[in-house]
Amino acid sequence: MALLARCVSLAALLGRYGVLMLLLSCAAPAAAQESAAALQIKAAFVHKFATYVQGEGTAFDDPSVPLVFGIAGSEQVYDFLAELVATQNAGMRSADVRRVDVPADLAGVHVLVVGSDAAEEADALLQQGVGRSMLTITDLPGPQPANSMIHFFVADDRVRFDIALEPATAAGLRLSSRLLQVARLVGD
Amino acid sequence: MRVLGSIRNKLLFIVLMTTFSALTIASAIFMAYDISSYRSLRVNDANTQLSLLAYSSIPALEFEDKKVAAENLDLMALRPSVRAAAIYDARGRLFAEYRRAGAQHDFPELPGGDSIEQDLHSLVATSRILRDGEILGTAYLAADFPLLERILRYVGVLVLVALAAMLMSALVALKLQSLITKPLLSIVGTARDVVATREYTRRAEKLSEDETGTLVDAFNDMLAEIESRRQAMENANRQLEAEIAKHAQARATIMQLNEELENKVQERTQQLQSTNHELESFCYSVSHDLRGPLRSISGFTQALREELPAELPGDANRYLERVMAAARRMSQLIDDLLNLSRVSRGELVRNHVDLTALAREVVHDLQARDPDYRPDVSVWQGMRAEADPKLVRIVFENLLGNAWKFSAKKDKPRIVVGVMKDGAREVYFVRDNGAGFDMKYAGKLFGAFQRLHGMNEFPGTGIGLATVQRIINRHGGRIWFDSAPDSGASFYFTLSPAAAAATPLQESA
Repeated sequence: MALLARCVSLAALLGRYGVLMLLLSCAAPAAAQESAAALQIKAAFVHKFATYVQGEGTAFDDPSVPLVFGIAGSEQVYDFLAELVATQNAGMRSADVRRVDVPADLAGVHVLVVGSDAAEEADALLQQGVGRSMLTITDLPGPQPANSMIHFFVADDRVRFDIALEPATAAGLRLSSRLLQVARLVGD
Repeated sequence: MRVLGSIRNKLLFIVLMTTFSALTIASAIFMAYDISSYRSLRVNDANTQLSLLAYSSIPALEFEDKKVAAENLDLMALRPSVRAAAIYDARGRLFAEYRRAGAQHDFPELPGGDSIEQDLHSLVATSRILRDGEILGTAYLAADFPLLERILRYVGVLVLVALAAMLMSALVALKLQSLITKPLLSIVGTARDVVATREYTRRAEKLSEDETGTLVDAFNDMLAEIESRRQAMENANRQLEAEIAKHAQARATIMQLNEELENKVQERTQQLQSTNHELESFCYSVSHDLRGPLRSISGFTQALREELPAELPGDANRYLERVMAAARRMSQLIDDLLNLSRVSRGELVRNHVDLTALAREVVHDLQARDPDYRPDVSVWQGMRAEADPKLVRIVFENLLGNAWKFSAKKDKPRIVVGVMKDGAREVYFVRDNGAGFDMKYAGKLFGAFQRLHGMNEFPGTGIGLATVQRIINRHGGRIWFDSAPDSGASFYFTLSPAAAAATPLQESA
């Protein structure tokens, strides 16, 4: 029975991450494909980051409120995340994914992801987040912008991320030390 | 148990076996408990370790950071008992691994779910890594689990403890067992001495007041009893010996006396026989020598009677008659006396005798001598015997002569000669219905010259029955009679030695 359950759960995992895993494992040299695989991983990371964040009086500490992901400048991340949320386990917290184009869209968003397509609006969007207990994640080339709490980068063909504690603390959010363990840069 | 020999060894054996049993049971229980608790401790420890490992590996797995996972695993170096550890990802691929320095370990291709496997040397535990119900991977831990070593070490320690305890027990038992063995050995020693020396006056020493003490008392009582019985027996033996000696002496005396008596009897018998012989010789010679003068008296009286005239003066004729009658009587006396002595002296010749014929001949002779007297005589037929014919004839002559003589004065005189059976023996009888005699004179009947009737009444010499008795005696037989005055007389006789315990008929009235 345990083996069967395990097979089923493995199958479910494959179903969810199937494409991603396969792409990653194949490690195809094509840039477009690589980018897609990386984006898929990033979407999965974003989905998990929320579980390592705490903040008194914020939505992160209130499981009854659906967690709202706001995606700006990355259609693939949006798609993958939407799919993840749609297929996530019944035991997991309910979530919602929406596109963010202008700062006005940030209302009700708990996790903001700024993709490379929104590099120009990034600063404005991040600026909007200041003073709000909103987790800000950036997937932009170059160093981590100001007010970005988590910043993706690729090293040795692997998706890694930096964490800046200062904006998070300012926003009243605490990032779990266990998350910091797997991050590259902690604080400035 | 026989191998152990003495009680001392048996006691020691009992103590050692008791100690050993108690120790073995206690050790076994203690060891089982300890091994069980050790096992659960190690299993719990492994589980805790595994849980910690799983928990700390969640971020590394979620964010696919093998380096961090490896760093987490490296912390296991703080636990030297952990031989190897690993993290597998959700698809069962090895994600990160750890090996103790210098240790070889092959990680399984696909780890199990939540499980713990253990053998005598090692323990392998796996645990799935879960987060919000999602399986992120599997944690794997292989640790030293020296169960066998621990058991062996335990057994070693327990053996040492058991040896020490048994040694101690043996020392204590050797010290204390004298409480039991000393009184016992005291009895045993006394018993051996008593058996060896047969000295029942010895007593065992009472060293304790327990059952052994009671045994000592009983043993001593028994010794006392044996001693007293032995003495009683010795006394009885002594008395018996003395009595036996006395008896033997008495017997010897009696035998000596017997011998003397026999000698005396033999001597007397010889004297008697020679005297008898002399007497018979004397009687014979006297009788024989008397014949000559008597014949002279008879012959010359006869001659004188013939020479003298028929008519003599006075009573001369009558005197002559009396002289001649006296001479005849004397001749008869001498004949009888010679007969008597001949009967005693002659040799006994046994022959087959027809007694019937013999008796009839005698009757015939008596009838011829006295033709006027005719008694009714009946002689039974078929009487036979093994006897001396001449002597038996004398017997019948005398008995029939007497019957003839004493029945003569009866109106109807009757004489019977017959035989009857007394067992195997034949008893002959001669019976008449004549004068008879008083039985008070029976003692005189067979003596020589004894007469019961006056010479005038019945003539006779008084020698006949003496002769008859002598003849019967020489045949080994017996003679007896039965009579009463005026009722006749019956004479019974046998001619052979009596069979044992044969009772004669009517020996006396």
